[in-house]
Amino acid sequence: MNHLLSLLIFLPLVGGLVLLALSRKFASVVKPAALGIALINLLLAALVGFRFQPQAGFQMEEKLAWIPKMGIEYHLAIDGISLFLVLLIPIFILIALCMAQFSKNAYPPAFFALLLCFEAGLLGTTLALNLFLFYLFWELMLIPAFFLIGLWGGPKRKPAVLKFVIYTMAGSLVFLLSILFLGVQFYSKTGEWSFALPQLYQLRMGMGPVASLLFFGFALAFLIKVPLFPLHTWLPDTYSEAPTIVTFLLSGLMAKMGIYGLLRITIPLFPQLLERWAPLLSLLAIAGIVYGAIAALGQTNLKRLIAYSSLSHMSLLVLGVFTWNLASLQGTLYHMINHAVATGALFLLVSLIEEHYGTTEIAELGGLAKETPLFASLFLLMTFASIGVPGLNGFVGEFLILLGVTTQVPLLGLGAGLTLILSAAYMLWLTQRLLFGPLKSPVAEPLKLCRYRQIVLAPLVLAVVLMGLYTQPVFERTTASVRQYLQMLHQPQQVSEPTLLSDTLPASEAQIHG
Amino acid sequence: MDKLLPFLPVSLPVLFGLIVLLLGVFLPLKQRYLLPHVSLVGVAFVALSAIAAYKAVAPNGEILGGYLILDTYSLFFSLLLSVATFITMLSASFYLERDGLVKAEFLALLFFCLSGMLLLASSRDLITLFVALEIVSMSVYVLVGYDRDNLKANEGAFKYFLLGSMASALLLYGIALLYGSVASTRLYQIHSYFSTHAHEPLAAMGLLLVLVGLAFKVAAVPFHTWSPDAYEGASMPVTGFMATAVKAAVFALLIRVLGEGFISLKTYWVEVVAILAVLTMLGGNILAYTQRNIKRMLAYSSIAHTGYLLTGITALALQPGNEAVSALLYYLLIYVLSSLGIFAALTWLSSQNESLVQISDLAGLGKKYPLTALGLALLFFSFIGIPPLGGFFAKYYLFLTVLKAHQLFLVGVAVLASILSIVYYLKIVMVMYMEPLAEHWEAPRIRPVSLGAVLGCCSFAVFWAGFAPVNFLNVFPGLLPLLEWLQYTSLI
Repeated sequence: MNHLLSLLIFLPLVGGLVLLALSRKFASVVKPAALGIALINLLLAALVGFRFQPQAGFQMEEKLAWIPKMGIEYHLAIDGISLFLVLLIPIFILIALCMAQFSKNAYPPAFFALLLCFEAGLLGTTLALNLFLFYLFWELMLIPAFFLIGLWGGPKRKPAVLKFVIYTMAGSLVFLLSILFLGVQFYSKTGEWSFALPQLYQLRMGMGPVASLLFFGFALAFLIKVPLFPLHTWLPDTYSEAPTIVTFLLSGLMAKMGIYGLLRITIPLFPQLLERWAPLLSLLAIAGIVYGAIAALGQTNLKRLIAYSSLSHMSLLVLGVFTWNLASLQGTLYHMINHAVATGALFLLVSLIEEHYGTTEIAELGGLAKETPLFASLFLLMTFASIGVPGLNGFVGEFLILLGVTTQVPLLGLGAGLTLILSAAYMLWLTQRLLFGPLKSPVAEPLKLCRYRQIVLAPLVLAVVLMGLYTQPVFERTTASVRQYLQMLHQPQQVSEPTLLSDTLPASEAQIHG
Repeated sequence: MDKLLPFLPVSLPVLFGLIVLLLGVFLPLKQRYLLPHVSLVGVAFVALSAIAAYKAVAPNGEILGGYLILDTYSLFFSLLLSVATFITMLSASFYLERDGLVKAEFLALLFFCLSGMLLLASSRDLITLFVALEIVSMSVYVLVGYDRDNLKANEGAFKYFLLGSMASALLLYGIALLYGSVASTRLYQIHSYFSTHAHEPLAAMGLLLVLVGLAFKVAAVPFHTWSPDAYEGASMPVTGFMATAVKAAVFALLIRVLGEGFISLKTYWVEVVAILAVLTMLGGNILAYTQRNIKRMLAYSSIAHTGYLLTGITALALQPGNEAVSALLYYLLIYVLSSLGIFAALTWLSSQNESLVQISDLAGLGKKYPLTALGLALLFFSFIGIPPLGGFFAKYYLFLTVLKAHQLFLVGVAVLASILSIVYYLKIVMVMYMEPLAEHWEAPRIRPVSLGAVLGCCSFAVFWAGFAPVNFLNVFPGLLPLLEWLQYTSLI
């Protein structure tokens, strides 16, 4: 089984496409088949996790020449930084498929098939080590998301999805331009084409203005996907118009791809420039935390409120990334899972509210704790996890990030810490309005959590509690990779400025000019 | 026969055109449905003759003392143009049937145009090039206004004719000035003259006029104003023909003239072409955004693609070697294939009547005809540049080549323009999939397998070209895999 990683990507991709083709004529087969494929993929991911060796760095590598003339190859590998995303993605997809299966909204078979394609894009992005391949999967992620939102979203889905695609594609195209420019730099230095990340890491750019532009070119696509303030304006519309199950995946998984891209591509390519630009980006991240929190306080709609809270929390992750010491990076990796679980679970719970009560307006709901104690307690648990109550998982991640930030720039840490209090404010106020007080409900029947849904939500609850109390399994596997990563960043290397004009002309051309 | 073989590709279409004309007169009315079939066979013969001629004169390729050259470059274009003409004839037969128009002249005009285009692709002399270009233009003027009772067709043809003939005049004047300073119209003699002699203002003037004339013909902004009207007025198959074959042929000319003849004058034209490219990319994409008529939108989108191709032409000048040509040809190939697929589908969809060409008429296509919608969506996604489709790799390769020629600014504008283009391409996909079926929708009565097959083949080719571009990278000076394959199957 040397092709485990490929199998992980191509099983859902091929499966999804085949099921998409069958979704009209053999509708009854598609849903169980999709669930089966997602389950098998989860087992494969578990196998990957089982075989993973914490000390080994990049492993389970697969390399195939694709377009050798241009240095494009099919290159996959996994390390401690990507491991937990690779585990998280199949779990979340399976949960989303199960929720869709038991939903009263009767999602059509094509929905299930597209979710599988989405999974393939996500996994591919996480595992690719060649920039060309990375870009391919990065875009592959977008197409299913486009159809998932555009076909099954809320009433204003069309402008929302258009905005979403334009924002992300604009970032992607700038990213593509940067890839090409970097490729040309590599070519003019070495005389051959390569888009392999490990090779490009060696190509240290200097501190000049061109290098800075390139840095932002590589960061833009990821910062839009996260999104970082002020690139966030697509987020509230998209998150609130998408089907809530899809929002669960967008906030839980797709936003993480932005953080992962920063970690995997932007920072290792430009370690010199971090010193210069990290303060600006950190300040923007803090602005994002505050902005998201304040905007969340003002929302009247549940989905939008949690969307803004997600924005606020994602900004904290950006802060962790741009502090790049051991504590903050470990914290970031850990908090990526936490945020996915807590915010994801909140979105799932909102999807239940939406389905049962037919509304997500906070003013129309109230006192749900009296009606559905089980639902209310789950909602409360996830709220606590999201605001970082000690003993639950959110606390560990936030603590580590804040620790890392404070040791580096105490003032920044102080700022971030204080602003996090705001998250407690809006979330607790939300629970107060939603769960307590006099009962307000547009429908007579109380919301019931059926057995299936309890089973589906159980892993998220378990994760919240276990990851808050027992952190060792995660850190055991990430520490070595993060240390290697930091070593790579701090390695002294020959630095050369990227060039725009004639001094890199090929020899033959220079002669003509001469 | 051996002496005659090299001239077959250019003369066979004329012969077939005459045969079709005569058949149109002498064949009994009932049997005239055979005309398109005869023409299709004819085009296939032309393509085969192009391959045979190439093999007969290889490796030197020069005939008529260097007036014409049959190299891989001209072979590539001969095959591409034959395919485009073949598909146009295929879809035209439905359109002629619908509107009750005479078939013979239409098909004959296509043949004459093909002959001119093949001449364009293989000519190395300014006068021959001009004559070839005129053959092409004349045929297309008539084809645009073929439906003479249609006001829009008349308007389009008239505008196209007026502006086109002015462009021809400019071109000819430029050629005359160049001849005045070089005393030759052969491209390689012009090249060798200017690489040793000083550049006179006369020559620069001539070059500028030639450039403006050609900019008219490829519809580069600000010389593009005829194209939306001509595209809108023409019937769908003819619009497709103009957007694919004619555009590719003019680019064959442009690349040959600038890359081979005027390469030593590059200090004069590189910046002009760069400015044209910037204007064309931005203008085409911005104007395409506001269109509601799908033909006009495709006209502007084709202008935008012209802009991307023009950036590639600047790379031609700044960088020695064939890489830029290879990137340009790859881009053209993908562009032509995608457009052919799109126009085949649109021909079928508008086979009820020509008024069904608003973008909103495509509403609900995803539900009603899932396969057609899938093919169209794939081609539009390819235009947007979603990997691994051909359109993405075409842009990737082209932009990389231009960047390698140190034109960061141009590529930056190209990326900005591509961002603009997302909106209008994506809107079509959204209309097809996310809108309910239009109420006044009349389903096409016929479901021709052939047009479906064209769409399918084009979509697949675009997908495959992007997924495994390694075979296409050898296009220039290659195309050898194809030839070897042909030899292997003992077709020739």
